Amino acid sequence: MNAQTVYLVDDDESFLRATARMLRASGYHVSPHTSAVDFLANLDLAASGCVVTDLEMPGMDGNALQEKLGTTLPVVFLTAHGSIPVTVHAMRRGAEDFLTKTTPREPLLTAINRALERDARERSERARLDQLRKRFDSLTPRELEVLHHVVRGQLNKQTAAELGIHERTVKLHRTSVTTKLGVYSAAELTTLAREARIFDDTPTFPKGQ
Amino acid sequence: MSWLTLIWSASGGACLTLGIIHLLVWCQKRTLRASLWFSGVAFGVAGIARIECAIMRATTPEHFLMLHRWGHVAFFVITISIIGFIQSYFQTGRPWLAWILFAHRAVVLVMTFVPGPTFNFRSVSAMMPFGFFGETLMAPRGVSSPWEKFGEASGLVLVIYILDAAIRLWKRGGRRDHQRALVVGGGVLLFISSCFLNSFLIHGGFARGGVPQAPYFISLSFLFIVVAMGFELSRDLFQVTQLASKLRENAESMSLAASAARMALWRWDIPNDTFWVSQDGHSLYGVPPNETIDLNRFLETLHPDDREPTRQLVLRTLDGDGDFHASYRVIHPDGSTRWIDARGSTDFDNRHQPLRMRGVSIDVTDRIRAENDARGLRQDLAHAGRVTLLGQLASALAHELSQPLGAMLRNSEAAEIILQQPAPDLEELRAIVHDIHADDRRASAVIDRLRSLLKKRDLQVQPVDLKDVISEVVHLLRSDATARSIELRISVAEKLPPIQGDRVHLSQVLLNLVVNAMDAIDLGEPNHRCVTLAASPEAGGRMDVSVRDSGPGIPADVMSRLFEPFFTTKSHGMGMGLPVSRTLVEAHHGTLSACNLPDGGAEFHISLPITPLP
Repeated sequence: MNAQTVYLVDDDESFLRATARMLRASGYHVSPHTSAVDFLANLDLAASGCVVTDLEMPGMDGNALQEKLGTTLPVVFLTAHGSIPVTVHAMRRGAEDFLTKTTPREPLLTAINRALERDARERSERARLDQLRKRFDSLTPRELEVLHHVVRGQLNKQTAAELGIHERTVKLHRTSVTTKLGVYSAAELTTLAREARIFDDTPTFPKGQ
Repeated sequence: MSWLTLIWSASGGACLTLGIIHLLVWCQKRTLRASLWFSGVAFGVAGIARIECAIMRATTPEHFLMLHRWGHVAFFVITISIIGFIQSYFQTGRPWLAWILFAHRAVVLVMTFVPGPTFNFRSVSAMMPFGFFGETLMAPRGVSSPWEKFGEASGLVLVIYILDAAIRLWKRGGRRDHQRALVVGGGVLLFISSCFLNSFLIHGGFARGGVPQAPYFISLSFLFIVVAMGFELSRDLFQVTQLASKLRENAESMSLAASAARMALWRWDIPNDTFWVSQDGHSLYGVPPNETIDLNRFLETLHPDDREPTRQLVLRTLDGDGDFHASYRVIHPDGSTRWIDARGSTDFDNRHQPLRMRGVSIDVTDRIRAENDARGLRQDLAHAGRVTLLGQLASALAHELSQPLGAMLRNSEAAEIILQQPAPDLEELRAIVHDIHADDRRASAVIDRLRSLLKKRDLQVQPVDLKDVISEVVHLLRSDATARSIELRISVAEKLPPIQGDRVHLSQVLLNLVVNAMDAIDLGEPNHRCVTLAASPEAGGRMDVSVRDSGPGIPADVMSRLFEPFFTTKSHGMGMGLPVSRTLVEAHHGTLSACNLPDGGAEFHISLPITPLP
């Protein structure tokens, strides 16, 4: 995770080489590619980093690349000329920044650092989430249902009624859940569940990913 | 004085006068032979008149007979002269008749001077007086000789000869010839009648066994012929005067016309190397009016650069078919320059030696100036078109330049960092410097291309490889095409023969067409967005270049107005791109046209002539 890679994508070889040089000299680990297709083919999804790409390229251009990447890696766009619609479009899609090719070193590195930080942050966030979710793995489906009701603030009696089981069974499930999760108060349970987003309506990751 | 003397003298005097006049005419112009012969006739008749005058009053037979003889001499002269006149004036007299006549008369003349009585009379005994209209005249009393009929026969032959010639002239046709035939023929007929009258009167007298009661008046008879001939000759002279004045009028009109058109007429006598020039010619060439001009003097009036080529052209013309056409500049003494266009044709003799060149020179300075102005305007227009076009490409060009500029910036930043390291990697630094150079050259090339396109320049015709032009155009537009997701395809044969043309202008045309093609594709939303540039040699020594797009095609109402100046369907732009492109293509002797493709899209087609191989 420490070795974050700056992925460079540009069809102009001279520009690609020069940018890679400058970044390497500035201490970054760089992976240059002359085409977006080539870059995607060799991408290691587990690797942390960011993408610095030209907007206008033959074959797959910068926009298409961003679409393909989704939120996997943050993207910094470099271009010779940007019009407002193009910039807005890219930023809406979640680009980290939009710069010209002749931008000096400082602003460029700032943008790259920001992107890298964001990627690191997002990855650790994702990892944490993963970890959290893993804890819920050990719960049985029945236990999850009970937890759902607890999180919604229902009394044991109500839960039992809705699920059609005994209140005592509910209590038993609750004990199992708190033991498995290692969390003892209802409030903490709720917080944990929300953090893990177990019961979100819009799932960001398939459960147990 | 007696009235008879008066009449005969007047008649003789008139003939004498006419004879002298026409003799003088012949002296002036020796080719007018008819006048000479006529004067012979006139003098002859004058002579006869004089003799008749004397015979009328002859008192002795010897005197009478002597005068008679001299009368025959005069007849002879008259006959010869009439033959000569008819031959040279009518040219239709029969030669054998003429010879008979001549021989006949000659014989008579000789026989007259043989001793003894004259041809006409066997003997004359005395001169008897007789009264004639109040005057007393003398007539011979004698015996006529049988040879007399022979003598008179010659008169008949003469009449036949003249009438025959007159009839043949009439048959030859022509109004003028009819007139001549009529007048002279008429004169002859009157002469005959008069002669018959005379004969009757004279011989009637003899027949009555006595003395003729009338004088000879053959001279008066001849007068008819003299008057007729004289009249005809005078009419000719009159016509000549008329013609001369018409000619003068024509010459004046031509001179005026030539003046108005600033034209000079000239004639070069080649063997003597002298020029005649019309009055405007001297001022046209800046030569003082009275100076004589030969070939060298003429060449001196020309611009120094034009002298030798013009001289060479003249020599070539004289060796060739003699048709001369040259354009050159003339420098006037005041230093001003005029453009002259000269044309001439040469007359050769039978050994093809040049005798004379006649021609016309026109001052075409105004036209040349107008043409130069037009050329200048065309260049301005082409330049304006180019500038507008390049304005549309600004974003593409910005991209083209930021690649090398950005790379140079990155490289120099990297170099700075590396240099700050304790042990800088020299290999890396060398690589950096090398790359910076390469990018600098790249940027310069783009700027140079831009500069040459933006400069206003004259048409520079050179051999041009269309393959290079096409790939340059594609290179220039590549980034713009990528930005618009349009594919630029090239379909060019391996080896293209070169075109004689101006590289920049041809690039301009292709740029214009490809930009238009890309704009067209943006209008439609076709599946594949593609512009194809193709070039191939075609039959008939021509090169075909085409730009095809996959757009929606050209609507019918637009198609007819495509090349109209200031016509555009776009919100930006002047609407001058296509008209200017067509002008540039036509300046290369080519054609530019447009059509819709069957599968959709449009094609713009250029056809250019290929340089002939040396």
